[in-house]
Amino acid sequence: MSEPVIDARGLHKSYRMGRVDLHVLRGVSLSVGPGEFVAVVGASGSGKSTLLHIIGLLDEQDRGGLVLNGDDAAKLSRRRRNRIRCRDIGFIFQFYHLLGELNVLENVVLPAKVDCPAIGWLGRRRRIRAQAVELLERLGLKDRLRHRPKELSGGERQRVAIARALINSPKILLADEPTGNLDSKTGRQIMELLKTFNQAGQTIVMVTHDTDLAAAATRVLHLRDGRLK
Amino acid sequence: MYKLFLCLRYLRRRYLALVAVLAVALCVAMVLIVVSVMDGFLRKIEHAARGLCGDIVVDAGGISGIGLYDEFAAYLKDEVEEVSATTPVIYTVGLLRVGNLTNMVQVCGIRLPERLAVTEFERDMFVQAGWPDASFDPPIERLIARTTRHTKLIDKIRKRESAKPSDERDENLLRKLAVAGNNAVWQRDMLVNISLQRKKIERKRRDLQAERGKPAGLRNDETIQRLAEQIEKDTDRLDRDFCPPGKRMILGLGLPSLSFRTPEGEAIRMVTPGRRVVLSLFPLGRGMSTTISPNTATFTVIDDARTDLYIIDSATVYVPFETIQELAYMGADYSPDEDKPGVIVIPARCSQIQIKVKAPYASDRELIRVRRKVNAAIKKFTDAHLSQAHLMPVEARTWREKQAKYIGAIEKQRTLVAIMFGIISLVSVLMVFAIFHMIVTQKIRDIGVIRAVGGSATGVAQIFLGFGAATAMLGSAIGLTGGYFFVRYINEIQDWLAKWFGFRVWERDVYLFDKIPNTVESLTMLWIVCGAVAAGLIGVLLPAVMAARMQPVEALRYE
Ligand SMILES: Nc1ncnc2c1ncn2[C@@H]1O[C@H](COP(=O)(O)OP(=O)(O)OP(=O)(O)O)[C@@H](O)[C@H]1O
Ligand SMILES: [Mg+2]
Repeated sequence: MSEPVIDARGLHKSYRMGRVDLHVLRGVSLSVGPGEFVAVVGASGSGKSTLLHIIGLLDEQDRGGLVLNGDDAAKLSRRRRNRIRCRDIGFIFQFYHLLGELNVLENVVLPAKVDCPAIGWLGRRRRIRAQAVELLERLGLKDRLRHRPKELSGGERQRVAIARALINSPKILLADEPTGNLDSKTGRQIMELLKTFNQAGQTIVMVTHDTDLAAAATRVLHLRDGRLK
Repeated sequence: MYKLFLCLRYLRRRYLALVAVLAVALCVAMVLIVVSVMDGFLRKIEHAARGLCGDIVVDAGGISGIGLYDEFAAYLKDEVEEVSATTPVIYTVGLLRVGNLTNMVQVCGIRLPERLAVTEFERDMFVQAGWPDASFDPPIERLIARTTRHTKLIDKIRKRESAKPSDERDENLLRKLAVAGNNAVWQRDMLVNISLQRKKIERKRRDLQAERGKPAGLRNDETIQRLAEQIEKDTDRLDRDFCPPGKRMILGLGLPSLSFRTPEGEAIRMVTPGRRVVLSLFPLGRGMSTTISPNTATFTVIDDARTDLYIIDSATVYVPFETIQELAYMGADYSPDEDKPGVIVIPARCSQIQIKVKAPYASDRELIRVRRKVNAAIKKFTDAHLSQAHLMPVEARTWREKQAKYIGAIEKQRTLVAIMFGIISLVSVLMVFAIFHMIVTQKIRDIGVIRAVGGSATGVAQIFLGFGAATAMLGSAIGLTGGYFFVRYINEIQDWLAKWFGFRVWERDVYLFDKIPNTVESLTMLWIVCGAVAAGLIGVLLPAVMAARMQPVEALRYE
């Protein structure tokens, strides 16, 4: 078996709520190989988002080790963490988190811009824009390029978020309840999309509380009592 | 790259940027206006206080005044090298009668143009404006020319006022203008007549000279006799119509009923040069006499002067120093002993000596040093004239020290104004800070997103720093421009307000000056902009740095 893209060992995370410690993750271990589509299922409040945030370097664990593409996350400089967030990880949030000041196309292109020094941008601009347009076309947003996020429906927004997550061709796509805020039909459409991307070789880790949705994945794990089963 | 891009996008979100720009513009304009007007006000007061008395003042110790002032002045110039000029002044109170109008006035006896070297105070004159050698004897042709110009101005204003529709026309003003116009024309014609008479006398003098110069045989003694008599008679008459230089007067522009201001601000004189006035004053100079009867003399007005200080202008007349000295019995007393003719028992006196210090020593610190030297000189001078010690000055004071005693209230006002400056500036800075802080706080989720797609903490800070700097500068520019023009045209704005809403913020007699100060210092502008931009940047940077240092997920969760 080839080297895993995500290798988490014994992750612990707790939140301090006043005087009590809320121990959310109690030793989560997870290994994801390239091309896998892993679904993590758990009840609301079980710590799914917390786990995904730690894997996506948006948060830090209290204890335990995390290796991404062979790099030990604990040893990364801040600069490297930023770079990995930018290049190697695509994140889809439950609440889309698009920037309201930017239009659809600009939102999608943003991670590529962040990745690129000022001078290089001028050279790459065309190619990246073409790439973004193509992505959006595949996601069925061809004629929404100039729209503002607030002018879009929930499903459309989530598709924009997917395009944004994929623009830098990340090694890992992390999806946090990508359909949580959508009706079941749009939710299914989104799942179909993720599935096609996975079939094209995209590694995906998705968390959800919906076991039906998890069926789309190649592997399903359950998060219960702070542990994966 | 993305930093600049996002920064520009935030700027283009009109609402956000507009709030920031407006906040800064308003604060900058407000502080600029308040600081400029208040500062200008204080500056004017200081300038006036200094202008009233020069850099250093030596007051009389006793009621009899300062004797040997000219000797002292000469001594002082030798002794204290920093002194550049001095002039003696007499202050007394009198009654001024113009026609059947009587005003109580402060009579100020000055030497011209000597006094101009000490204070620049009364240089805003009607006839001799800006003349470095203004005197009590300006050429009569200039008086005529200036009066003619004034009649033309009055004509112009009358035309303008009568052209107004009847409901806007001020009949009272028109009547006053008519009187002023008639007065000026009549006075001008008098002056022309006097000028002609002078020429006639001049001609007769030349004739007399010529006659006298003839060889003995040809000379006609009768003609000489006749010419001499005629010249004397004519001169007498002329002196009655137009007093000799010793009996001339400069009016303060602002004496009640002698001048008025049109709503547009033009100063119209009811009394123009050439007018004869009567001044009565009580001779207080001689302490011995128990009964005092007033001394009265006729003067010819030859000019008027304005200090900008309303309390001075509305109550002061200026007359030649030596004349007032005589009238106030402050002249020299000669010995009644017939064996000692011309021996002075009591020397001539003045009420004050005003001193101008050379430019490099004009600062407050230097002035105090110079004042000490002047005091030392006073002491030495007094020691040398012990027999007249009671007529010696006691001590010198700098203009600020003198002001502190007489206009102490203004110093208090100053503190009050300083506190007000402080509060207003602080409030403005806080406001700008708060608004910028709020704007960025609203954007903390965005910061989380930018961090999540790989933006660095410094990158995020830079985005908002750019946003803050751009809006703060734009706001400052707008605020400065607005504030500048508001201050510049503050008097016009006030006139306009007065015209349409009928209320005046700035009443002449309440605020000492007849105009609101309208200068803007460039240093003030610089400081205000620095303050505004700094407040904006700190306001932006604080939450931006805070957000950038969070874990991205915390920023994303931020409500
Ligand atoms: N910043 C925080 N401070 C305190 N408690 C937190 C914080 N973030 C998460 N928690 C707590 O940790 C637990 C797990 O949260 P998490 O968001 O990971 O749950 P989840 O499984 O994603 O739930 P859901 O399905 O509702 O999204 C919750 O009980 C939550 O209250
Ligand atoms: Mg969640």
